Amino acid sequence: MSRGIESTSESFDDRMILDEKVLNFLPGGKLMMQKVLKMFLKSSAELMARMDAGLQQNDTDQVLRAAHTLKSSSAMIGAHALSKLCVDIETITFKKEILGVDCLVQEAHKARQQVENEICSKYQTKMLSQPTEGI
Amino acid sequence: MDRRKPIEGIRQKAGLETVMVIDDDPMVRMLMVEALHEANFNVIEASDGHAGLAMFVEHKPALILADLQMPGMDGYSFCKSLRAFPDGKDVPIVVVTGVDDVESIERAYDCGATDFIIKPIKWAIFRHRVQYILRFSKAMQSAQQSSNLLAEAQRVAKLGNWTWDMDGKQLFVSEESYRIFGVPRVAPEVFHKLLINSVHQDDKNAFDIAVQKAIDGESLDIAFKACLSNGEEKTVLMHFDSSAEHLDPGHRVFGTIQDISEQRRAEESIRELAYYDSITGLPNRDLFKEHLSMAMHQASRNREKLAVMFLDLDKFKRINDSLGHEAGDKLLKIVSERLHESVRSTDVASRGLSDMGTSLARLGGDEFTVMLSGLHGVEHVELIAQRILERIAEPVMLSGNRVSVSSSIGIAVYPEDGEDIATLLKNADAAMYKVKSQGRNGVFFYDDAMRRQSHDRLQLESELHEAIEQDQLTLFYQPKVDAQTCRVLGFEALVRWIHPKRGMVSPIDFIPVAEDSGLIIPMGIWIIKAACQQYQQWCSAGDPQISISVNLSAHQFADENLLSAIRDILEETDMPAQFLEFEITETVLMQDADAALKILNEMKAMGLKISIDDFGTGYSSISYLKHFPADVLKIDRAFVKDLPDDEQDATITNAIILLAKALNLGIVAEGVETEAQLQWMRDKACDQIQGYFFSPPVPPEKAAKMLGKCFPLDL
Repeated sequence: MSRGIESTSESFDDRMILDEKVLNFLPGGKLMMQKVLKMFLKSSAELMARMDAGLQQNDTDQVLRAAHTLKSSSAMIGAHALSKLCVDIETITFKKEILGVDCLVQEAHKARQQVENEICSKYQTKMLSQPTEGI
Repeated sequence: MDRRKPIEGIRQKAGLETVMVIDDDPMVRMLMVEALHEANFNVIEASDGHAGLAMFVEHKPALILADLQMPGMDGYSFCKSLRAFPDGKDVPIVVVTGVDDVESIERAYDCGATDFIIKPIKWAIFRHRVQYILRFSKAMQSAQQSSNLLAEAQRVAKLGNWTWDMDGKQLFVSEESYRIFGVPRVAPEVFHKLLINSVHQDDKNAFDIAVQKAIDGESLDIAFKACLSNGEEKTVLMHFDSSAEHLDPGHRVFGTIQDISEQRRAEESIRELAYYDSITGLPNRDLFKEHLSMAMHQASRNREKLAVMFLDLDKFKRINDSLGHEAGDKLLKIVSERLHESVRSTDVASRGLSDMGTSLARLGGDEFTVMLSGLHGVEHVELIAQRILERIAEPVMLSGNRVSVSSSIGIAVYPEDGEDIATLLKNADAAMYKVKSQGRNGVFFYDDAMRRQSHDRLQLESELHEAIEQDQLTLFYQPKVDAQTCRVLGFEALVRWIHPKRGMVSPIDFIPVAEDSGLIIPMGIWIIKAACQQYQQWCSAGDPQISISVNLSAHQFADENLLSAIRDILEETDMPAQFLEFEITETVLMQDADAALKILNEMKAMGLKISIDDFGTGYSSISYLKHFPADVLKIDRAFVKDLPDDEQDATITNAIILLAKALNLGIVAEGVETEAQLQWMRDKACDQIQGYFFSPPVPPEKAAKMLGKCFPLDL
């Protein structure tokens, strides 16, 4: 293990939209990173949609599952702010509550959009409205 | 493991280890696969537990990374299911879970997970983590294998190891130790108690001493009988290893424990084979000697007496020969039972012999011994011997025949009749032979007369040694005379011992001693040499015109150096072989007729003369006689002494003379003492006469005067 890794581990900023350090440590180099980010944009959009649907149907379980998945995948690419919001949503819905979840989901939508914007500007990855074949 | 960065294109290289990734999130899977490829693994992917199980069966991955929350079969169920597979018990499963989710980690462990990785995954350390877990797991598996092997080895050897906390009275033991004691796994305190309580009363003392020595730092072995709770008794060997590197301050001793019951049984059956007679089950000669030795020590300590009986069945050989060995063996068994009964009978105790110890043995053949120890006097010994005789003499049924066997018992008593085993046995044997010689079926104590006889014989033997060394032996010569002309044709040389104190000792007394002690060989050589020297001495005064003959005993004839010794003597004394004659009895020749024929042929080849002595009394074979290259037959004096009146002897003697003539052999009559006998011999055309009628054996000076002369001599 190198010293650099130790210093970054467990000490990231909760408000960070996209943590470059995390991205840079992903395995597989640039090509893989672009592939991952594309996948993220697609899956995160789907997961947000599921949360919305869950909210409308008062289905806390559906919201919980979607938030849980988005929590880890956003953390994986260093989208700390989004991941933090998912943790909050997860915490409330785990207790079968719904109060205040809609606000958090709206926040999450914004955070996700910010992530998308940053990905598009920094990594020239276009948002794909339709899933790419093979994924 | 190769940690270099992988080169593109060798990713699915055979021989790499396979890792399986199970995650429903394709993004996570993709990243993990990438990271694992970089770490030089083969990777297979599954999106849920079911798929994972199927792929496990097909690919047998070395390590599995599994997400916990998945649709379909989740990570927990996957762990549980895989652990139920026969080959899924040991493969490491690493679950991937959120940092805050302690509960899920615990649950995963319960389901059989090996380790966990926190999400979000720290990619830089991920590969190291995986490699480490794999290494660790392999080490664990190999340790487990070693441990299994060790346990298996211990099971096979019936050997367990233990650590004994002497202060805490705890005994930490390996699996096999439990098995030896026939108990399930128990706490160290319980096993400690169990072991201590199992030690057999007889071994308790030795065991406690051993433990104390071990605490004091001595390494040692102790074998003891362990009485198990199920009533079984085992022989257990404990090795205490108190060597310094193992010792720690808390009085801990390390060691092994082994079930040696089987070895002990094997040793006992070997002992049984080595020390017991297989037919009767009685101790054999070796064991009897051990018993006797112990009993003699005890008798010496306690100032007691001890009697050894030598028992021999009379005419046992006849039973063996006529009824077969099976019947013979059966008889031996019956005799051993009757011996047991005779010495065990209750009235022995009532006669004030309650301290008496007994030991029986079969020495071989039909020889038994009975030892009676702890005696204060010998007055009851004969009584017991008589009872044995009577009991053995009772008829038995053997192969449908009613058979009665008598026996002869000789008794020697310690310390009077011998203070060592060999003497005691020899004297009991001598006493037994005395019974045999006096008509069998009786009891004889070794007594003063026998002791004296035996002492005299020993004395004689040692004196005979001196006699040979100090030239106390001398040769006398008895002439052989031509039956018709009465001319002296030769002499038979006969050994005489002129003892400085006893005077003339009869050959009847000292020849048997010489034969038994082996002195007959050097003595025989001396006789041949002395006879040859005498001949040469006579030659120096002119041609003696005689031959000289020497007797050869059975021992000499069997001596492989005989011929070379004769050759040496002929050379040394310049003796012409044709004038030296050896007289050999037909009994000696017939002991091994083929061997005798060879020796006789060689003697003939050397030019020596051979006469067959004592002809007609021994066991002879006319057909061999034909082959033996003999020159002369000597008629035994037994046939001559009652001639001419005894018609039978006359017939036999006449036949012998005719036989000799027919075989072209010379014939000499021995023991001719009267003129009538001489006349009879002349009438039957016997060649030569030897006997007191002409002359007894005479010293050489007297013999010299007979050379070239005819009887009667004018002396």
